Amino acid sequence: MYLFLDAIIGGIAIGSIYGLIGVGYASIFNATKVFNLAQGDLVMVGIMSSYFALDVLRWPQWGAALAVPAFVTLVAVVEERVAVRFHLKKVSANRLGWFISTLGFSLLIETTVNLSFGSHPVVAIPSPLPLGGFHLGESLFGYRQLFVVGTFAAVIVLLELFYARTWMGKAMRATAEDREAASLRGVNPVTISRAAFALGGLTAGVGGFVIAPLTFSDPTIGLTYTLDGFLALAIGGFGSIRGAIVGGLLLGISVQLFDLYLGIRFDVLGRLVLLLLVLTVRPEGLFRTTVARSV
Amino acid sequence: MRFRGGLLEKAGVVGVLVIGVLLPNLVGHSAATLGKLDALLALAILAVAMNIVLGFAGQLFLGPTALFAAGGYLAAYLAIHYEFTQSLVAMCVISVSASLVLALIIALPALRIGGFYLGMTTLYLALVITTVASRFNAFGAEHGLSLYASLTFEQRPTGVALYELGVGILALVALYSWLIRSSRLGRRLSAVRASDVLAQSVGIAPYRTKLAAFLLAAVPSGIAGAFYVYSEMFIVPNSVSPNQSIDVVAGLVIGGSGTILGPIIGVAGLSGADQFFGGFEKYQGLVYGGLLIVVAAVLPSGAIGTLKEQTDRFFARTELAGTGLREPGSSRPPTGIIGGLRRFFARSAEPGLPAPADTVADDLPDNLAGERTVAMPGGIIPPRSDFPPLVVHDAHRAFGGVKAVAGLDLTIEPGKVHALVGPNGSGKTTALNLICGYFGVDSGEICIGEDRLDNLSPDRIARMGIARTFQTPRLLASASPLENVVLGADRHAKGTLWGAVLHSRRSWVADRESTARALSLLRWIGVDNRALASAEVMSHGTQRLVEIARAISLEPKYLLLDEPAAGLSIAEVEVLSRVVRAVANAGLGVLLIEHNLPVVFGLADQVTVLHQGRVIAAGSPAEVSVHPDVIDVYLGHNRLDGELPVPAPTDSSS
Repeated sequence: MYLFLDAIIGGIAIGSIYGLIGVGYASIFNATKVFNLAQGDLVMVGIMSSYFALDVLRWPQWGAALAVPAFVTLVAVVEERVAVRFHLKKVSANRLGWFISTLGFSLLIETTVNLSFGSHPVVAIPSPLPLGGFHLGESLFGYRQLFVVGTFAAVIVLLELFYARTWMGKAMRATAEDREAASLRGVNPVTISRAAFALGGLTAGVGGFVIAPLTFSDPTIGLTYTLDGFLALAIGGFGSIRGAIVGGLLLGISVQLFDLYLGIRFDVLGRLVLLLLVLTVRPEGLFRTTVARSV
Repeated sequence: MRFRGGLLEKAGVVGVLVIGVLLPNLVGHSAATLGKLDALLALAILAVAMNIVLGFAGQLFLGPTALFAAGGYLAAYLAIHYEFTQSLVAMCVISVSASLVLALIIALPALRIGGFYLGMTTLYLALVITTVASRFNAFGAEHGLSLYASLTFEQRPTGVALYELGVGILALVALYSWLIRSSRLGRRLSAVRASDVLAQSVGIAPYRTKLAAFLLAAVPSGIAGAFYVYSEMFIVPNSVSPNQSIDVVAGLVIGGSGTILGPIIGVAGLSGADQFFGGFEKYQGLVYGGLLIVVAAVLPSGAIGTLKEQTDRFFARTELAGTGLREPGSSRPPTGIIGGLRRFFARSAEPGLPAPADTVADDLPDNLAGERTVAMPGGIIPPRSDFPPLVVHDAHRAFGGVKAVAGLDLTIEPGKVHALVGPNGSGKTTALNLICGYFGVDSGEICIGEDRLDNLSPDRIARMGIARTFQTPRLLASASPLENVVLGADRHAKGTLWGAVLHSRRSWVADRESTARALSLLRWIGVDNRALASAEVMSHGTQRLVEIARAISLEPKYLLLDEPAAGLSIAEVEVLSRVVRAVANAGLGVLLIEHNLPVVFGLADQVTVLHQGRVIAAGSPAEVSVHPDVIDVYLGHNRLDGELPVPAPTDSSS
């Protein structure tokens, strides 16, 4: 039984990581309808710059906690300028140009990080929190895991507040609904897409910093995160924060249960089956209503 | 002699293959070099295969190595364990089967959403295959599978001969993809690439067509996997990783998706540079990434595609004014593989279409389009009257709280023009979308005789004989008006799709008939002098007329026009009116949604007026134009003495 509980706890922690990546996707997608293929690489940049700040520069934790999200936000804003903005201006001609373009940017990020850090041995990244945690029966909910879950919850609450309360949040939702109508009401679409990428970058940066102590300084991990975040969103439902929460947690817990009952060899295969199952039964994800097509 | 991009591309393919054949003489015969060249060939074959999905059908497929790896791994596994599977042919059969099965498993669910979902799912598939292979000892785990361990495995042929065989396979796969692109199936794929809605409006089922593209691409992908394993004699997880997939897609897109030459040049060029110039691979991601961003932004058709377009643009400059089309020659049609080869080397401008004449046929200025429209030549619209009316009964459709259509009754009689008018937002377009199946009805019935139409798919309804146009014309933007109309005329082409891909005699004749029909339709609406120009550079009015011609070319029972006169010049409105009248005279039923009331009242036999989703008046133009509710809706309460700006209804046979 405690193995099962362990799996659930581990699932919630890992699910929060997937959820954090998913929320980053969603905050960009909601405002721009761009699925940012470099999102996982942004998280990876967060992890690697945490490593750089903490392990190489020996900065204090609070310094890294501020600098890492700021840096990743900057990278995301650069991405918006270099790889995305052009495609938002164009009308439908090459509908998925941004897909190829953000794929290209993810290659740029990965290669740049690889060139900078590729030769160093993969090492652990220090955490602000001690080892250990709360005991639940025989299971342990680690402080570091709890930190990820707590950050995920905080990010969600802040994002919901941002979308509901601030002018920019409302403007983003309006732009997502109808780009033209929003710009006629004085919302500058360029400001919106830049802000959306900044938000996505910020989320990825916070996520990267929080995840870093749980993983290693591996510059090739970006693509895996990109795919895992996508899985979480595809399962939960695209375009909603709730979809990212449900999808992330569901994916995390299922992965742990796959590992427990089927063996770790089947974990990736299990995820694929889960994804195909969702796509077959409920293609739009668990938390998304189908939008009527307009002709 | 006329020079066009298509010819340039063919010359390029032949040139690259010749270079491919000679390559061992240039870079050396050592086993290590040949091993690299063989691997490069396998990737090039894979890229040409993937181009069928990515380029022709426009579906994001990011996991090419998944199919490649599944086939390769299975072939290697069986070859190690069973001696009789050790020949190249046997390995190809095994690999192709595995690749087909995997393509089916992944495409069936993932195609339901398509778009980037498909891209991400297939990229994930590439990760899954690699990870699974690296975790199971049966597949050699991290070390992969090696045929060197097999005592009985022996390459036949070996060395340079094997490499040249690979070049031959690449040539065949290139021909295969060219045969697909230049066939009726290829035109279907390009319709799906443009948009599902467009494809459905000409009766093409998008899902099935995309699935076909996947399976067609899976075959050569499997062959590529088999050739890789056979020539390298090993397969390791790293060589088929998702990153390798991304590299193949990058090479394909940079080289030019949708072209035959682009994928070969892109993948062989970029991966070749990577393999043969040491130290480059560290920076490979920067080059790929940078090029991808640039290509996605400014060269959507890639290096070769852009070169092709520019060549066309440059050499067409002198004859853009009047691109006359030569009547298809009477010589024996080139058929089968050999015929396909002959046509491959022929200098036809557009795949599957007759070559344009070198001379300028006629040179009419655009604004005389109206005068070009003489009496309808016989046979364009076969007269028919043997079908029941299209009846909409008590149809309802709400979007959230908005009742867009609330209780619509409508009967479109064969041979009559039925106009549907009403203020903006009164539910006219929704009504049309309900009939065509783009929206489902909440309640009510739509039928032709006994056949219920409601809640069938739009492409099914189009195939049942209901053709439509859109408020904003939906054309294949980069294609010519001729190709756009041929897309519709193809609906009634004889012969199977397989026959079309193999360029059978029958399909050649069918293509010729479709082309001839499309041309006479274009001549009828006065666009034949621009039949081969690019549709996207044409005026809005011309695009509308071309779209109507495409709808008519489907030989429908009913023609549904959504605001066809909007944005048309006076001359074009004249053409439109004649076309609509002729269509009705030929026995077809027409539903005309239009704001231009003089046009409506001049053409319509029946008028139904919608207001806020309800029918407020129906009857002859004369009755409706004096109906108080109609005047009220159009002119407001304070103008009860007003009159609608309507001419007296004219004789409908004019």
